[in-house]
Amino acid sequence: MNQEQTFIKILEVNQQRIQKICSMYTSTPEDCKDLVQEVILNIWKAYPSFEGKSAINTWIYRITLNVCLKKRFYRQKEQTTVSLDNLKFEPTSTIDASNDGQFIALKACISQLGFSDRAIIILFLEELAYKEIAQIIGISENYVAVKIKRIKAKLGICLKTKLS
Amino acid sequence: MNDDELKKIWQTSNVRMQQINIHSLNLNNMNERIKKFEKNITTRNNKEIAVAIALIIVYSIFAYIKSAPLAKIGAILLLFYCFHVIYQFRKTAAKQPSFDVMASLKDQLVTYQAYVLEEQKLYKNVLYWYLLPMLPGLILFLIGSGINLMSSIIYFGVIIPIGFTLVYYFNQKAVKKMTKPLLEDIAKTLKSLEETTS
Repeated sequence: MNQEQTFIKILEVNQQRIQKICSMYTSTPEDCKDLVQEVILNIWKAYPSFEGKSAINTWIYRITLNVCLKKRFYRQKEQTTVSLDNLKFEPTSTIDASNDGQFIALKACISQLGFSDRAIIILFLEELAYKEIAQIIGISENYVAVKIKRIKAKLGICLKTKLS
Repeated sequence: MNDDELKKIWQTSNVRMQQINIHSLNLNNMNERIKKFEKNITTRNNKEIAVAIALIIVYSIFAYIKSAPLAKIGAILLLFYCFHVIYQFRKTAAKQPSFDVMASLKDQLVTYQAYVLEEQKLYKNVLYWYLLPMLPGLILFLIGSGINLMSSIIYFGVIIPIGFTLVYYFNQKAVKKMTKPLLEDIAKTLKSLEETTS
């Protein structure tokens, strides 16, 4: 399998993950699409330097969250981006709507968190080890544990209100 | 709600948005766009250098052709002033962080914060590094060029004060509207990543 085929395969496996994270940092589907495109482009640009030292998922989380950070904090003049006109989005037919209400509530509660807390809880929900979360965020493992405990407490209160 | 329930909600839900058609992705096209984008950045940087060189040439010509000693000295001072301004801009531009997708989020923010702080310093101190150093050269150049009384009144009483006030005003406005809120936002996020036990 050549580099391009491997890249496509990686995207196929991770596209839902990327879209889900991007949706946590955007308020409209259009913004989310733009962010997803930016993430894909950055993954492609960084792909030749991927050394396989970490799992591919962890590597993708790192890039995705960094692009979200750039979109959130960098000013317009530093936001020079390349758009992917050829990338098509298609309606999905395989959505499981059984827990839509709960997910919408969870998304709303996560959206109330600050940028870094959002990133930490997303990585926790994606079942990354504390060590990996610590590396991506840039804090100690112990502090990740403290943060997660605090964020879960906040989420618990918020979800209780939203779901009651 | 326990951890497993939370994770289940997260993991079993698909985002209600359109799916990417991966096969519509043209990687060659992507490569071309990346190259074009990088070329645009190089062109933009080259344009800035070209403008700087043009200004230096203009003042060099003035310094050469002006016969009056005051005007000559003024043009030379303005020439040095140009070098000084270009140096200040390039110094700040050099500190602009390159976006590193592999950096930790905290490191990325710390680096960007340092750059915005540097830029804010330029805006805040515009009077001292941009406006006042221009004055001696400008005054000598205008006086040495033999402008009449009426022109002197217009230059020194109207154009220069208004120009200087506007430049100062817009720079302070940039601090208030642009860099200050951004720095507060970054500081707030970085504070949330500071290890506290409370």
